[in-house]
Amino acid sequence: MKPLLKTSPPAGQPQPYKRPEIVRQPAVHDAAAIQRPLSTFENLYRHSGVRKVVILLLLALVWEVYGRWLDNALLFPSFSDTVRAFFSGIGSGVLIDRAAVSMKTLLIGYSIGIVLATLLTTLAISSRIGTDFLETLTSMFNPLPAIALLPLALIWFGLGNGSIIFVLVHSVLWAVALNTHAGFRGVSQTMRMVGQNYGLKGFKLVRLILIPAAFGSILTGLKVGWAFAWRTLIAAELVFGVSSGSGGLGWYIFENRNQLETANVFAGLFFVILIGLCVENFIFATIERKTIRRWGMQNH
Amino acid sequence: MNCLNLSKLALGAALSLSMLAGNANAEANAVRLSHGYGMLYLPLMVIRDQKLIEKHAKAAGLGDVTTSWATLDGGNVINDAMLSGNLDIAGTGAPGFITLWSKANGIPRSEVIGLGALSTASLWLNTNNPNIKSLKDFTPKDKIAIPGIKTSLSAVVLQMAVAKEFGHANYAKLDPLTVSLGHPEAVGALLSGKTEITAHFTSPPFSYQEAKDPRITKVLSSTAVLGNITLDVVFAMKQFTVQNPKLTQAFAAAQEEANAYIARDRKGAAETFLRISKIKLTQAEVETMLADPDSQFSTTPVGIMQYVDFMGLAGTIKTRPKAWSELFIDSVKSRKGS
Repeated sequence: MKPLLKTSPPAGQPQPYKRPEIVRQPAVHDAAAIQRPLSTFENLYRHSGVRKVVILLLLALVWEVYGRWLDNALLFPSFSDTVRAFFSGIGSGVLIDRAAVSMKTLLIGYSIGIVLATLLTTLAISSRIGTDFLETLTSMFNPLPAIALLPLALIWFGLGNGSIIFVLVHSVLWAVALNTHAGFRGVSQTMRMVGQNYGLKGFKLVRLILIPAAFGSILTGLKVGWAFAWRTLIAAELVFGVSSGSGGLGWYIFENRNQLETANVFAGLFFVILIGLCVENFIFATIERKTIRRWGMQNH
Repeated sequence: MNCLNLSKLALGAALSLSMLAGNANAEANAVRLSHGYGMLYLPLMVIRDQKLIEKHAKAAGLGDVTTSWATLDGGNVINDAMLSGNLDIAGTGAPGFITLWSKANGIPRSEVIGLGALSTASLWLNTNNPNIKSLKDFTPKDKIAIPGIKTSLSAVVLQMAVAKEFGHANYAKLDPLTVSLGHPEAVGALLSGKTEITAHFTSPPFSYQEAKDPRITKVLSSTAVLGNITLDVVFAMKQFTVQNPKLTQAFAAAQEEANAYIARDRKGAAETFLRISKIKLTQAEVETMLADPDSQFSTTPVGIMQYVDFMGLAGTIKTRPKAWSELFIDSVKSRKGS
């Protein structure tokens, strides 16, 4: 039998054709890739901050284009007019003074509102009559606009800061109490019973078990209360425009509207928007990150 | 939609638009006007009551013109209504009009122009504090009520009076004492004596209402300090006067007839005032107010440049008209105003 394999033939005989080595690279198809580095766009798009800035820039662009097309600085100044008025207001210190006055009043009203809301909800969660009391009060007073109470407040508390703080507390209290109470009612029985196992009752139970467990709702309530407080404050300062002394941002807007300085009115509104953005993205976002995101209570 | 349908649609649209445009040269057949609450608006109230615009418009060949009236008091509200196109002709305080003229100057769609003066009267600074005999006696504990602080007619006239008393640099001396309150509330607050309001700077009839009370004393009368300058003017958007010249003239004629009526028939004018303003006063009281020599109703503006100079120096207006006639329509320019 002839062997199948032929070893190299003896010298002198014709040699077999030795073809050149063919080396192929493995085909790396995009769809088959397991891992690849992110493109620049994807790298930037990952950050929500960048996305938000892009949205804001687009809005500013639309504003500028519309303002220029309308060409009526008295009715609707363009974005660049507003920014110029804003920086001149900041530079002369007027806007900062007014914002400081507004913030001071706001923080006083906001804190009193939160403290009262905590007391009210603690009372509510400890007894059945307390729950009914809270629910009745909230359903009565939550829909009542704070500005409607302003004339009454002026009669009771006079022309000073007291009446503004009263309407601020009214606008904050019911929103925060409602959300907190809903949050407390959503806490599972298991956690409550664990707390009761430890002998916790009343305010200690609320502080150590209920508040952390319901923090998502509480934070929502705080955000809503903050927005309500801001709105009520600016509106109260507009309506309240009583004294010619130093006022807040709402008063700045009112004064400039009287003098038909529309760019300054928009600058004041712009500042209100900026403060709102800052508080939401720095203060509330930080609180969120350090509490409910860390505890795994909120999806990304 | 194929090409044929599309072109038919375009043709139809063009035809209807051209029919609408065909009416563009005709004047408006509806006018929206406004006046305020006090005696200073009496000529407009007479025009409203006797339908004088309809009468003069018909006489000018404009056919049936409908008028609709609003009661708007307060420069801001009137400015907003005018700028947003909801109002054609309005009566307002002279400083408010000058501010608006100055701000809108150079913006074609928002420019305003005066149709003439409306009225002048004496603004009284009434107080319930017996210690206050002159402007010098005001302390930080006193509060002066005016309809709108810093920019309203009362506010600017008060500033001008203060400037005359304390020197021009101190025109804003009493501003921190001012408080913004509507006329009826201010009258109530002053007469009750229980609030922080101790003074009220206002026009008839409210000033007379307060003066009836023996506890109230008059500190200042604006005519004594500034003279009989025009307090209220009538104005409209410049576009309106350009597009409706005949209607503007009809209004001017109506106003002249109203002024003549007030001068001639005091009793009837008082009745008109009570009927339109629905204020709670007696006929005799209103007639006394009309008999006051300081209350004058004329269409010739007087003392406008006084306001312009004051507001220019105070920095409230950036663009100053060179003469009073720049602020008003051509038919008023030839009068002997100032």
